[in-house]
Amino acid sequence: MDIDFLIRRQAVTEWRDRQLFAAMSALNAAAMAARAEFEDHLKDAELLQSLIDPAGFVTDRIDAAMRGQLTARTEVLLADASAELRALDTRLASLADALAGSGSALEFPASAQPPLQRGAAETAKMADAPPIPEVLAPGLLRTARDWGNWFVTGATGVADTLSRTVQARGGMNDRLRRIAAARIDAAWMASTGDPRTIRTQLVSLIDDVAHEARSMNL
Amino acid sequence: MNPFAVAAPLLRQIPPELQEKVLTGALRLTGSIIRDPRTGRIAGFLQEAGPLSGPLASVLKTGVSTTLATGNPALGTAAAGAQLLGQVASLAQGEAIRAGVKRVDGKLDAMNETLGSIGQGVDLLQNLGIANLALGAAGLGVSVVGFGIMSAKLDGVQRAIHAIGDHLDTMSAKIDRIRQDTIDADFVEIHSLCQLYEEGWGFGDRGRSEQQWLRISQEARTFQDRFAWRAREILTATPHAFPAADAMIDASALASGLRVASLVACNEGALAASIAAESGAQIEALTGTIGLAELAMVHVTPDIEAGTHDFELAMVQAREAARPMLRKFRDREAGVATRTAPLALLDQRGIAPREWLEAARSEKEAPALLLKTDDADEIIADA
Repeated sequence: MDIDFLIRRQAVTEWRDRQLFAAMSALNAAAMAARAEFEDHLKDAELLQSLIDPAGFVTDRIDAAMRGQLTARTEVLLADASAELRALDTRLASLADALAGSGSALEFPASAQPPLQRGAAETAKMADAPPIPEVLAPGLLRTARDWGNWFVTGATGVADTLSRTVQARGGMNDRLRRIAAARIDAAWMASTGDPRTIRTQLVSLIDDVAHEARSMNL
Repeated sequence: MNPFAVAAPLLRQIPPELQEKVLTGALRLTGSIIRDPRTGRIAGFLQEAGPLSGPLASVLKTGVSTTLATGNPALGTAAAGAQLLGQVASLAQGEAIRAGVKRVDGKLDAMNETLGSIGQGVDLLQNLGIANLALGAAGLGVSVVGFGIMSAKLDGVQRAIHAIGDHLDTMSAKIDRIRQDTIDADFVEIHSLCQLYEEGWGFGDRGRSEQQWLRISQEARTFQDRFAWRAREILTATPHAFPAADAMIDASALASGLRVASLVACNEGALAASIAAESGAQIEALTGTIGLAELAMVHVTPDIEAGTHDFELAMVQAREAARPMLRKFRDREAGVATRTAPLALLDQRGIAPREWLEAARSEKEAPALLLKTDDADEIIADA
C-alpha cells in the first residue's frame, strides 16, 4: 500500500472524528440553551396549559428553542467542516462545497414552529378543555372557559402567583422538565428513531462525505 | 565486511538533530519511515534489531496484566512500552540516557562514546515514541528479528485473547471459528512456523534454507487470512467488540510479518514488498474506517442526559479513553504497510534484502537501527 495513500485515508478518518465530536458538542450546547429557555417558559406557564397538554406545551417550546439554536450552529459546523476538508486536499473541493450547502437539507422536527401567539389561538384551545374539578382549586371553581377568559383579559398578579405556586407544589414543573429532556433526547439527539433526529442526519452526512473522500483515488 | 559501511552508514547513533525534528513534529514517523510531512520526502527508515528481544518478553507480561486489569489491550501495550523504556534504559546504566532531547548539544557525542550505542537506541525509542510500535504486532520494519521476539509477541497476543475470553465465549455462539480452542490451535501452528523460520538460518546450504522459508511464507498465509476473517466477523456481529477484533488483527499482522520476513530472507524483495502492501491493505480495510467516534462510544455511560454539562464531560472523557486504541490502530496500519519500505533503497545500493535482515538480527547493542536516505541531511536541515 502506498504510504501517501494510507496517510490521506487516515487524515480523512481523523477529519470525520473531529466533525462528529463537533456536531455532538454543538447539539449538546443547543440543548443546554434550549433547556435554559424552557425554564423561562416555566415561570410564565399557566397551570391550565401544563395540565391539559403537558407534552404539547413542552414540544412546542423545546422544538422552537432547539430550532432557533441549531439553525445557526449547524451552518457554522458545516462551513467549518467544509473548510477543513478542502484543506486536506484541493481535489476534495467539490465534495467540500457540497457539504457546505447541505444545511438546507436538514429536516427539523415538524413541530418546530414559533411559539403560539398568545391570545385568540390559546383562547380557542382553552375553550375546548374539560372543566377542572374543584378538588384542584378549592374555592376557585372555574370552568376552562373561565380560565381562558382570565388569560385573555389579563390575569391578575394574584392569579399568576397562585398558578405558579400550585404548579411548584404539584411537582408539575419537574414533570415538565422531564418531558422536555425526553423530547430533546427523542426528537433531536437520539442516535436511532424514525423520523431521523438531527443528530442522526448530521452523523450520516459526515459519514457519507468521509466515505466518499476515502474512496476517491487521490 | 559490513556492506552498510561501504554503501551507506547503518546508524546505531541517531543524529540529535533528527531526534529534535521528530520531537517537534518537523519530521514525522509513519510506521518505520521518518519523513517531512510537508514534502513527503523520506529522511530514513527504522528497523528493529536483536537487542529488542531481551526485555520484550518480560514487558509483554506487563502488557497482558494491564489488559486483564483494564480490559483494554491498547492500554496494555502502552504500559508495556513504558516498562520497555525503563528496562532498556537500565541496561545503559546512566542518568544521561534518560535526558532525551535536552541533551542535543556537543555533550551528546561524548556521552555516547562512553555509554555505547545502547544509549542511542534508548534515546531513539524515547524521543521518537516508537516503543509501542516496536512492541506491537506490526513491529518496526521487517518484524521477525529472531525467534525470541516473534515468540514473545505471539505469546502476548495469545494472552490478550485469553484475557477477553468471556467476550469470545459470547461471540463463539454465533461464529464457530472464534472458539478459543481453534484459536489456540492456530497459535500452536504459527509458533511452529516461527521455530522453523529460525531453524532455517541454521542450514549450511542456503538453498535448503530458502526452501524452508518459502514453505513458511505459503503456510502462514492461511493464518493471516483466518485471523483477518475472525476480526471481520467479530466487527460485523458485534460492532463495538474492538478489543476482541484488535487481538485477531494483531495475530493476522504477526502471521503476515512472518511471511514478509521469510521472503526477505529468501532475497525475494519484490514479492516481500507486494505481500507487505497487500497485508497493509487488508488491515486498513478492517480498521481504517474505525475512528475515535466509534471507539469512544464504548466508554460513554448510556444514561447520561443530553443537554447538560455532564454530557459534554462524558464525551470528553470517552474520547480520551479511546485514544490509546485509536493510536494503536493507526500505528499498526502504518507499521504493516511500511515493513519493506527500505528495500528499494537498499537495492539501489546493491544490498540484498537478506543482508539487511542479517544485520538487524546480528546487532548486539542498539534495539533499533536507522538507515538514512541519500538526501537525509538536506531534509533534516530544511525541516
